[in-house]
Amino acid sequence: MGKKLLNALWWTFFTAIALIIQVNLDLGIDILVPGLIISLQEKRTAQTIWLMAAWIIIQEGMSDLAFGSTVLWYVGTVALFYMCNWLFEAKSYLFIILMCIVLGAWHGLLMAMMASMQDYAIMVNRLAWENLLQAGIIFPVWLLASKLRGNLREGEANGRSVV
Amino acid sequence: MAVLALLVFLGLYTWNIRSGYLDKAVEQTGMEVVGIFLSPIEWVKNEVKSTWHRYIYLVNAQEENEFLNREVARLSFEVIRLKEEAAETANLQKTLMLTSPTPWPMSAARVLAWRMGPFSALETMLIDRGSSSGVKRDDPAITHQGIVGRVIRVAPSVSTVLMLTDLNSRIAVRSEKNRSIGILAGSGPGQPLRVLYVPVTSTMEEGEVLMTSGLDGLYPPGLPAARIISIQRPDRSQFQAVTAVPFVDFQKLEGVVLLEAPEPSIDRLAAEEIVPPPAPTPEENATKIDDNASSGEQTVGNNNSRPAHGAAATGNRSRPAAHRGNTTR
Repeated sequence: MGKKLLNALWWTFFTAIALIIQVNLDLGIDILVPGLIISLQEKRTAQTIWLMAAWIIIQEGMSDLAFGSTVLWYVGTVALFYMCNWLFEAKSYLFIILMCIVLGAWHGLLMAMMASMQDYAIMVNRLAWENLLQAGIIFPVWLLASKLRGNLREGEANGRSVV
Repeated sequence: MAVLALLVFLGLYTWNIRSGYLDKAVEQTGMEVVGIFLSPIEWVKNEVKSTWHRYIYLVNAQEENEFLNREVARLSFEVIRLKEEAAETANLQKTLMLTSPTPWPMSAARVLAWRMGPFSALETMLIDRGSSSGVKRDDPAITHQGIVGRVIRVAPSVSTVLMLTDLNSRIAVRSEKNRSIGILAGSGPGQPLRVLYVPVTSTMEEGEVLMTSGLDGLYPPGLPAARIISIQRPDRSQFQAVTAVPFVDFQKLEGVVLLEAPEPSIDRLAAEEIVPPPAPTPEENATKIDDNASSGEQTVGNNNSRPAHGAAATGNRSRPAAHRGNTTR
């Protein structure tokens, strides 16, 4: 099986599983964003752009706000990744924990800002709780996905199929 | 560079808020993809659940059967009584020359998911009916218990329903017994609903049922929405502080019924002078001239004998604000 096809299958599988979790949690949180961090760590620009484009369309489709929130969310994640990368090694746990905290706050800020731009009233307590959850869920999902992805990349490097 | 990107984003955002093109694009693509992806998963979940209920969960079947038989008997008497009342109402309407409201066609839909995305600011749910099934924005969603909400986004095969518990939901209601009007507003999930703008001079009672008044032009009148649980008359306010609970149990909601606003018939629109009646064919004209000639009258083409109703001057349609009351998305 070609490496590109294998890679595409892996990301499709990741997207499907992440969406199932996201939908069944019934919470306003993003399970796909750890995947974006993994893609950025791999320094594959084309892959990151494709994933971002597809996930923006999917997440905007599920969002209640006008188009633009998810664009800012993912662009903010990319900008934050490069900013943190100046300070820390991109694959260190400290780096990811810092990303989790800042992304949790960014999610809340973005939601409050975009909702107020459309004159929507939102529940502040729930928003605060969801930001905590958003910050807390990135690390375990990233850890699990990067372990699985690491196995795949290792298999690719050894010239054998893993999936 | 960053400033330029921000300016481009703000420009696009403003353009989209005005035109809605990008929102429509993601409704047709992203929302549709999610619907297609979720439908089979939800189908499997429902099948497993119904198998459980059908074959394993039969412990209380006999007891339930007896209860249902009693319910059928009770409801049969209720139907007889309501039939008589309906006939009486029809007679009264005929006597008073009132036109009866056009019925709203119904269609059932299954709930696929609740709040889904990271930017789900509203209390919404995804249902498995979309524009290809005739669903339109602002169509009311109900159950046999009462109102659920209204459709706010429509993709070809799925739609999003804004629930009445959302902070941004507003429904015009009337109390069943005292006929006082107010606006039913959501306070968030699990929180009691608020009834706004009920003057201190109006009468409402605890336990009274709130029905849709139809004044918002979005919901047909007479649908049960909530039951009043508390009323306070503050000293310094012009309005009463009324709270209510919805009839629908949102935790157990698996399906809804969508109501479709009836299109006014051509005859009715013509009667209200909104559209001219269809021009008669030459054969019809000839027949009409012959008939009129024999009766001493001569009217060709448009007959003005159709009575003009009170609504004619205003051009009032059955759903006046259906497409202007929507402020969400």
